[in-house]
Amino acid sequence: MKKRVKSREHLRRRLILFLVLAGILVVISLAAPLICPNDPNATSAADMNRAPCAEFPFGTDRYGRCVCSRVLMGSRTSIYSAVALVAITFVVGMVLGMLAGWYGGFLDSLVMRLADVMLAFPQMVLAIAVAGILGGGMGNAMLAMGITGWTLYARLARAQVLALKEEPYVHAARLSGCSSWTVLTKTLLPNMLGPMLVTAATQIGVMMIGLAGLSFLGIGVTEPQAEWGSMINTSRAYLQLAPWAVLAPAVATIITVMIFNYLGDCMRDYLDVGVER
Amino acid sequence: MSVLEGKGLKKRYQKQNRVIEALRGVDFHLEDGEILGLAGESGSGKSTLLKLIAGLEPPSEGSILLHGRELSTRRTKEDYRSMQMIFQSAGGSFHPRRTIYDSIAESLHSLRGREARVDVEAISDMVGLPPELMSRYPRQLSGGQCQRMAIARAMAVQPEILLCDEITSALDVSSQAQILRLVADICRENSTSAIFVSHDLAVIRCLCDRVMVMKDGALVEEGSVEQVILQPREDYTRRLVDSVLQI
Amino acid sequence: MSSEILSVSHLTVGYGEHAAAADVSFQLQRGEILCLVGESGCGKSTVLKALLAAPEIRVLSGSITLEGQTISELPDKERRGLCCERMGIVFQSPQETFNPIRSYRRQFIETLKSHGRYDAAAFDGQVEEAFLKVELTDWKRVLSECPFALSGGMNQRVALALALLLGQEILLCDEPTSALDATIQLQVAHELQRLRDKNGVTQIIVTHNLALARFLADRIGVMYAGRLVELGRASDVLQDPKHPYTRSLIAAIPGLDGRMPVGLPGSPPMTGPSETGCEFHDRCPLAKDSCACRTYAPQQVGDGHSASCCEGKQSLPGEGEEGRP
Repeated sequence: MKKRVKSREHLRRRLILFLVLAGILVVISLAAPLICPNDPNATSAADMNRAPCAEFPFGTDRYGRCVCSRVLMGSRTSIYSAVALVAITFVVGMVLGMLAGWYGGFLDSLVMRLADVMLAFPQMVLAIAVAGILGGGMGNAMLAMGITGWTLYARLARAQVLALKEEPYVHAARLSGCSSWTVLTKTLLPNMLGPMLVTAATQIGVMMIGLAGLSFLGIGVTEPQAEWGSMINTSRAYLQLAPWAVLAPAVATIITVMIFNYLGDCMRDYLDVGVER
Repeated sequence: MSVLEGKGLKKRYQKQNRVIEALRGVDFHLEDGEILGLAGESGSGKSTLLKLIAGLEPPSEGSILLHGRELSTRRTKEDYRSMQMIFQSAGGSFHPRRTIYDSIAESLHSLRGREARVDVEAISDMVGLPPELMSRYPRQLSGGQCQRMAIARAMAVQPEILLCDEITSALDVSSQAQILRLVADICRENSTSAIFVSHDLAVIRCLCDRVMVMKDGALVEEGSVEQVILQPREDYTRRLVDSVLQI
Repeated sequence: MSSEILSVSHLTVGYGEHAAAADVSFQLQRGEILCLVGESGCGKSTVLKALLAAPEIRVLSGSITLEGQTISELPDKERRGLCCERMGIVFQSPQETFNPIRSYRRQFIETLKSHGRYDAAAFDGQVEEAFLKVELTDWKRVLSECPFALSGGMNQRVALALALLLGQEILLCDEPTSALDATIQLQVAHELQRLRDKNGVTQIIVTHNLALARFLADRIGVMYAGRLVELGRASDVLQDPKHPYTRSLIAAIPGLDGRMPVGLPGSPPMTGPSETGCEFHDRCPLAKDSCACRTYAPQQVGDGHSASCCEGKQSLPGEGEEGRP
């Protein structure tokens, strides 16, 4: 017993650590306009491909723009859009999955077949196709990723509802005259949220990479908006001349994705151990 | 007129590509103030019948009448209030993250209106438990205590019928004895009728007035407990009675 | 060959440092069935697992003697090997005994090989003989099936057949009938009886069902909170119980006579034996002030009949009441 409590404490501290780190990232992205050393969009022919120095902490890119400032501003785009995308797909997927699992029958078949159709396509290929058809821009890129993104939460929610539906306390709630809506929101939802939030946290990193990928391919964010994927794309032709212009956004992406992934892991470990059986 | 009546109840389940007939046309009746036992082995359909009666699942065919009025698939709150169910898994029938008090209050407010007062003293007194236990979580109570609280929650809304699904099967023998006595006392004091499902004929013998023996979704024999257990007419009933190990 | 096959003396066992059962002593005679009876948390399963040398159980003190050899002193690996060879095990659910998704044929062959008793030529014949002893006539089909495809009762009988095949003289059963329907319970109980009567298999059966013990046991040991509170011949323990707990256990069992069973308030403790005082005193209707500080000391109360308290000679409050009005 003692050993278990100790490890729970340890997991709690790890969770708090990564929550704090993720929080720092969010704060940085919020405060980006204030902490940018230079104007992220200001080009300068004199400063093209300059190495990191006092004036430009991460150097400049081929247009003479401050890489550091662009990375900071890009964090807003990358983090916000990934979080927004995950939030939207989470809600949509969860609602559809819960309804499918609870009511079964035609609704269940409809939702699941729809999910199957979406999942039949490789996610990135479909995203590229959709984004290409709709044109560029972050909004369309998010839509492209979101079209398949909801299926994950729908399946998870449905599986949870199916498993919990037969629990005696759910029967007891129904026999107390509670409407289906009340049972779903007040009884089932709190018990399901744990694993689903863990999935969502881990998906932030996945979505971030997906969006960066679309931008890298030129069908996400358009210039001159700062976004890590598109920055890598813009600067890769000059990789040998100005590697910092590629490294900075790449490392930023890696660090951010890792922090969110670890956050997801910590949440899962903490909740797994702490779940009352 | 019977308090509760069932006519031609059938229930079919679709499992992969097979159809399972859990109930094959069962009739029953429950009189005022009596405790009816549903006996049978696993797969006999007794729990399925109880679920149909409670309204957890709709029958494939047949009807259920409460005081002569047919119950529709969509039950009203008043229907739910008149029939309360107690489950086999004592702790499992309470929401794991709510206190016992919250669960009972939720049920009471839902079925008796928001103004209904949760009389903690009276409720715990009825089942012989100290009132402090109501502020605990289900996992902090023993199996027997949880089952008593489940009975308390059911009786708090003053139902006419108690539906008991193997409520003592998961309990130790002394807790089982306590619960049986409690159910007998409560039903007698409140003139509540009950349907008691159990695979244990000895339990049915000491608690119930009448018993229905079921096998493979159909009724095999029915009658008073003395008659069915001491003088069974059917071979299957006789085999069941002979299998009871006694002290 | 002496008639005593297994002896347990002042055995204290537990998971880690905390004892789950303390000061347990009994002797098992060849060819007899001993039932260890008690409610959840009484330590009966722990004692059984200790006899099997299960890795998670530690022998904290006392000794286990198998056919004159004190095995509790042996190094773990050797002890386990000896126990596996001499003692068969049947659990409550077949999932605990067998791999649910592998055919019985393969599992039987593997088990026989690991015991060094596999004879390819004689295998079929031996299996048929063992299965017939447990009244499984369709042995070929059963052998080709996987445990999950068969019913609980059939799986238990297969487990018994395997014990027969392995030729183990002692069979340890942990709640062998609890998960089964009543009619199947009786069948398996008959099998266990037959194993004793026809094959001389000595058995220790752990169960919470005192009625099953009455049916099967030659001797009964009643356990409460990790202590063996009463031990004796089945007839003595059931008809002339000495310990108040035994008496209350008997009174709590419903019978077909319609008598309402009497249950003690509260529930059995899950904490194991205590250092001082009778573990039962807070629930015992016959408890006296001195019970809170007395030490556990079983006394002989008859021929082969011992109990740690004799107050149960008196009847308990509520006993003998009428059933339903």
